[in-house]
Amino acid sequence: MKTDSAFGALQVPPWRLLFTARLWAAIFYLASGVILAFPTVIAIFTFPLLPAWSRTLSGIERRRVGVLGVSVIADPRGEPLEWSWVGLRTRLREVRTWREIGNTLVHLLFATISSPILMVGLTFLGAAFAAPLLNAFGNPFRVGGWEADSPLSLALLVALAVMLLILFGYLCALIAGVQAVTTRLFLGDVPESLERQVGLLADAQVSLTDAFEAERYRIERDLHDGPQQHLAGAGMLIGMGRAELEQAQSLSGVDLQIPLKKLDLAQGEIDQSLDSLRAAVSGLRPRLLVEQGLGAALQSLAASSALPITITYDRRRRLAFPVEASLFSIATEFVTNAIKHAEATSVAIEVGDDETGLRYLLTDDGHGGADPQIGTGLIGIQHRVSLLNGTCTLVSPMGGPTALQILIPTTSLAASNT
Amino acid sequence: MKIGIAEDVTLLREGIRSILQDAAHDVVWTASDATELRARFKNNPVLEDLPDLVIVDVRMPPGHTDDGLRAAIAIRDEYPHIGILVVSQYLGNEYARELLDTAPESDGGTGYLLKERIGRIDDFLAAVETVGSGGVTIDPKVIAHLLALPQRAAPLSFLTDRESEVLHLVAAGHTNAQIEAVLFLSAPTVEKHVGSIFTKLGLHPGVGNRRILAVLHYLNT
Repeated sequence: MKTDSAFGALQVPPWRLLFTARLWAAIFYLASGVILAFPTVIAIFTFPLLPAWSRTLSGIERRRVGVLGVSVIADPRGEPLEWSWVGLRTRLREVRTWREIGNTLVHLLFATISSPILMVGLTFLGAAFAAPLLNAFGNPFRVGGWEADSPLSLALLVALAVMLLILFGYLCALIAGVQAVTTRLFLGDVPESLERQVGLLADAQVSLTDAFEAERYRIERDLHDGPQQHLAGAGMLIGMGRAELEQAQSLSGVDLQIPLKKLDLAQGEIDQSLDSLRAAVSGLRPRLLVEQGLGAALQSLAASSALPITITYDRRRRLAFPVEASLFSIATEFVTNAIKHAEATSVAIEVGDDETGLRYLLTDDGHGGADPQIGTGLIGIQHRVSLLNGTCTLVSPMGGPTALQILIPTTSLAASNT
Repeated sequence: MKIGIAEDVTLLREGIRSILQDAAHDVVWTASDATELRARFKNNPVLEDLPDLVIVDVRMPPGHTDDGLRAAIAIRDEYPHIGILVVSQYLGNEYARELLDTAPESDGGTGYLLKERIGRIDDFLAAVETVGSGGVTIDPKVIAHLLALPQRAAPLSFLTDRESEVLHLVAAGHTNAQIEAVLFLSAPTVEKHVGSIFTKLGLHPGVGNRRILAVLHYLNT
């Protein structure tokens, strides 16, 4: 049974403690820790080997925690083990390596604490429980001047031993729990690093989207300059040829219906290929964004959207292209979410200025409940806004509506002159 | 008609010149970029030297974005009586809309065609005639695309199939006479359909260009 608490054994009442697996697991945990300490001591004395041994030990430690019934600590970056000089310097520069070394030293500390306790405890308790047997063989249990040679004293001794065992059990469980927690602190994921990873992911998504848009723009231009021009030219030549054939037909009386029909079909084929070329590149129109700016691009988005979108665009001057592209991507992401997740029936987008900069407000009338923690779409929006040094406020109560308010300071706008 | 051509692709430029000359039009000049195009209208040329109609490609050097369109609109500002026929690769209506915004205040005709339309010589020459005589014409594919947009679908579903066909043709710039010819209908029938369309869409049925522009304006907003 996996729980999150390494101290699970401490919560068991005394009369049950001896019968739970957790107690014996704790003792085993400490004992195995002591055994592992020996190679650790060796590694410390041959300290160039220490980082590599730390890595190995940390791998074992992450799993060993599982003995106590808690979940195994996930390795932040599962890298294969290398026992080599090569890369030693790089590894020494990583925070991870130092955390592992730290954990190794702490592990040594715990081993130092637990070994005397285990030795004394197990020896004493072992002797105490064996006392009745020893007495039978003529070697009574002796402490100071007191001998356990009568049944009463034996019974007392055993009773005492049981209580001490329970205490010992709690002590072991406590130490084991503390060690497990510190191990997790040293070797587990730190919350900041998780956030950093999510940040990196959002960053990657944003640059990927931007790269894709730039690529699409390039493709559209290439298609315009290449195939579309040539196809239009071919169509025109066919048309001219057709006209000449018709003229020849009427002058000479020869029946040219069959070749004329073929030319008609050829023009039909050209029409179709131009249509499919256009369809392949259609959809989002970065070209419009480049040439006419955010207002026109938003209008175009509204015109081709399945939902009614109301655009209020109050700016006259254009912004730098990366800014407009980011804002437009935010709009398309918002609309997609409104349709797919919020089941909205209308969207409103307002762009305006105030004293501090640009004010960008997007609302939908869907059922709300949007959460940036779930799904990277909203995280991508937040990331874009933070890249522009802006602020982003999302209000999305359950039941809706959803409102996203974005403020971009004037310094980030770098308005260009049109 | 006196016609000027502004097109950077040599094959298309010379092909258009050839088609127009075969149809007895007079190609007075050609330009292969937006700068050259604007230069043709600088220094206040004499009226006789001006063309009746200019055929312009939206996308031309030096900017390769919408230089041609920008130049055409600038020319229209100064010489509103000259017809402007824009050719383009793009199905989207942003350019068309911008061009059409200039139509109401201009005497000259306005046209927006896709480049492949040039190959359909009869259609192309008909468009040249329409724009040259002050009318409005929009490529049927652009209209179809416009009418297919999701937000258009609901109100237009009130039209019958026949009315829908007529709407396509009205929006493309055809007169009633032309619609009669294309759909094989009689004049009163076409008028009845047009009237019904305008009533259903809540539009004011003007005449000539105003009618087309009303429909296109409706479809564009």
